[in-house]
Amino acid sequence: MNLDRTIIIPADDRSLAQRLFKSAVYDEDVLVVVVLGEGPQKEQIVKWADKRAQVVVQDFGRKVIWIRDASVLEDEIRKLPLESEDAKEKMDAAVDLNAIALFSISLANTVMDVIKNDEKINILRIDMAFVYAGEAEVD
Amino acid sequence: MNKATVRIGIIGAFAFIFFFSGAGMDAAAKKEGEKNTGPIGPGVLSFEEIGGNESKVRTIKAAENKIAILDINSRLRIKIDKDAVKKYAADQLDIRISAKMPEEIEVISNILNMEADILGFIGEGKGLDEQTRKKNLQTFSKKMRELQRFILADPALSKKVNEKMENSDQPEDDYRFIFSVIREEIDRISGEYNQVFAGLNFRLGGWINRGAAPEPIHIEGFDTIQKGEFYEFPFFVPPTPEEWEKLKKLPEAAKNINEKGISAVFNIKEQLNQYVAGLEAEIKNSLDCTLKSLTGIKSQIISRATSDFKEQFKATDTVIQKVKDLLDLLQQMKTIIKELDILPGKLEQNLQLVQSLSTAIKNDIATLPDDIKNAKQEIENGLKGALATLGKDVQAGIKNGLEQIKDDCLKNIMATIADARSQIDSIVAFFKDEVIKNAAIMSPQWGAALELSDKVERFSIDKIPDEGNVDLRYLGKRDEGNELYFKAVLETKPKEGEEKVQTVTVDQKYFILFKMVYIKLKPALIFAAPLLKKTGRAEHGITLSDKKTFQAVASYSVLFKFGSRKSVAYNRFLRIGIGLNVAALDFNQDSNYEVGLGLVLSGFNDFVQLGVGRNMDIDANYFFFGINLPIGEISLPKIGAGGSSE
Repeated sequence: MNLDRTIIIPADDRSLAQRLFKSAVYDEDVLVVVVLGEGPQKEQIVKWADKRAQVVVQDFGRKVIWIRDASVLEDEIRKLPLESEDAKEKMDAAVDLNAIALFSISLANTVMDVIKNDEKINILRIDMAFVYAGEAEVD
Repeated sequence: MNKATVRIGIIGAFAFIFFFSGAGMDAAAKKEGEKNTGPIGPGVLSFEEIGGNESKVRTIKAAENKIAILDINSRLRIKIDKDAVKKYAADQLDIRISAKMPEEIEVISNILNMEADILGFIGEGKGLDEQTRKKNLQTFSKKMRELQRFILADPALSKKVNEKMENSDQPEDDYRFIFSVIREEIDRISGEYNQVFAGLNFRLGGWINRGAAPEPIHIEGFDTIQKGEFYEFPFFVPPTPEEWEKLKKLPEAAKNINEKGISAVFNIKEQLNQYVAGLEAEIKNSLDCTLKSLTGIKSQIISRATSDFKEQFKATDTVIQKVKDLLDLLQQMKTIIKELDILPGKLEQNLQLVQSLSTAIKNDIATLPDDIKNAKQEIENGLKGALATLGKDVQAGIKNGLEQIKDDCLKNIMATIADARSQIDSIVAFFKDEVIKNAAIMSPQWGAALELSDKVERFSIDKIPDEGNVDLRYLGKRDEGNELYFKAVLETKPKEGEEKVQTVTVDQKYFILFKMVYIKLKPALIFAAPLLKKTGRAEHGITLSDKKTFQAVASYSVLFKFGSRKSVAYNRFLRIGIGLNVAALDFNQDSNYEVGLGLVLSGFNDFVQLGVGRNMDIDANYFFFGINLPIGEISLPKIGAGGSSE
């Protein structure tokens, strides 16, 4: 699997995982889709997300972060501000982060779109998560 | 006129104003308006009022749930929401169309029209600063997400786009593909609409109601009705012929008031009471006379004939009973008249009762001559056999009695009744015209039953013009308070087995015309009082005593009037005006008029005026108030008890 725009977070090194996550989210002006969990379905999601991450709009790129074990970065994920009502509802309801398939992060580092595992996921829906991240209010 | 009289006068004036202004009627009228003027369809028609130049455009929301106010000289642009027509047709006419609603399609179509701009954001920022690039990203994202949602809601479209995206080597090009897929879908839906709506015709008609029968008006682009005559409602409004007449009568009225007191002008109720009392006396007098004659004849016969006759005067007894009923009806009328000015809210109801009673009295009296004739016949028939046995003196007495009924008792009664009836009707009509007509504001159901003429064009749904125009200045002579009505209808194919086209109203709107700003000349009876104490008055040669504070004076005002675009009630009842007042004063009471010039504030549609002025001849300031009274508009002949109506 050739993933040009994806950062795979290691499950066995919490410190490295945090550094990689923070660097991707906070240090770069990119729209991010974070995929949680593993398995064939998640691999497909990552593959589609990576493909849609090729798109650049107004010089703003896209990235994919794949966290195969969400518990490694649970604190960092929970700290992210939730911008949309839909995101708040879904994140608050997800006691276990493994219920969430993916979410998108805006340039302002806020969570915009959240897709749960029980939702229908296709490449268009994943692109929509990126697009939604671009809608966040600018400074 | 003393202070007490003036005080009563002022209270009366405010009661009068309250009476005419219809306080509390606004809410009721508004409620009435709300009940009847709401759009039927989903806001098919929207309206813009265009003022003197094209830049003055005022939008009138079609959803406004009440009658709208238009400047009487404006132009009206009527916009037609074609998607709303389709939606109405789909909702109301059982036409099944795509699940995508017109408003959603409109949003999407607007985005499609921005394709080049939106796709232009993909890629580099072309040297733009960060803030601008972020704004552009936001715009791209918002528009693109709308399109994506549209696609995701349709499984077939979603499948198509997903397949393209999954197999794409150029992910950025997929957005162009999204545009093309949606464009195809919108075209398909439009075709579906046009097919579904084939055979449906849209028509738009308008009418003006000047008080008589509503007349169709020309809507540019929608009919072949001839334009009316050009007429521009004047900026300067001179007094009407009626007001000139009133102006002529003002000096006489002022003189009467100065001599008889202000209560003379608040005598509507009094006049009605006098009328009824006069009528009552006249009827009573005539009927007493009739009864006396009949009773005399009856007793004469009974005393001289056998006792069997006692039972043969049923018709006579009927007359007696009818008289009692009549007097009772008159008593009821008097009671209602007493209440006429107690509750303005019950005015209409009470006036209707006066009218009903007046009709009942008229009907009773109309049959009275026949009843009397029957009684006379009864007596004659009853006497047929016995009359010959009576003495000649009795025969002569009977004859005289019957002649007396005909000649003396009934001579004036019918003329009095007819005259009284017409006078009561005219008083009631006056109140109705001035008060109830105004208070009702509108009964805007008048348009519902109107049918569009053949001169109104038929348009298929896809050919409906975007807008129609009405230049109100080409509607001929118009007055404030005239109404306009517009109705949009859909004509559907006849049902199977029927030939008649079905017509449904999809939207309607009522307007009322007012002039927003104008200058008006208004005659008025004012009550002026010098702003000087007794000693000061003497110095200026004013002979009006301190007690006789106010002098009734004929005057006219030049008023600058402002209308409201929001409140029909304000325009009808309040309509503030400011201006100058010129009065013919006579403070020194030498019968030579002195010229008074004053500043005046008018309200309640000029029913009341207040101001201060200066008597230019004797250099004295004065305060004044004025009331627009129906002077000379009602004159009631006097009816003396037992006298004639002449």
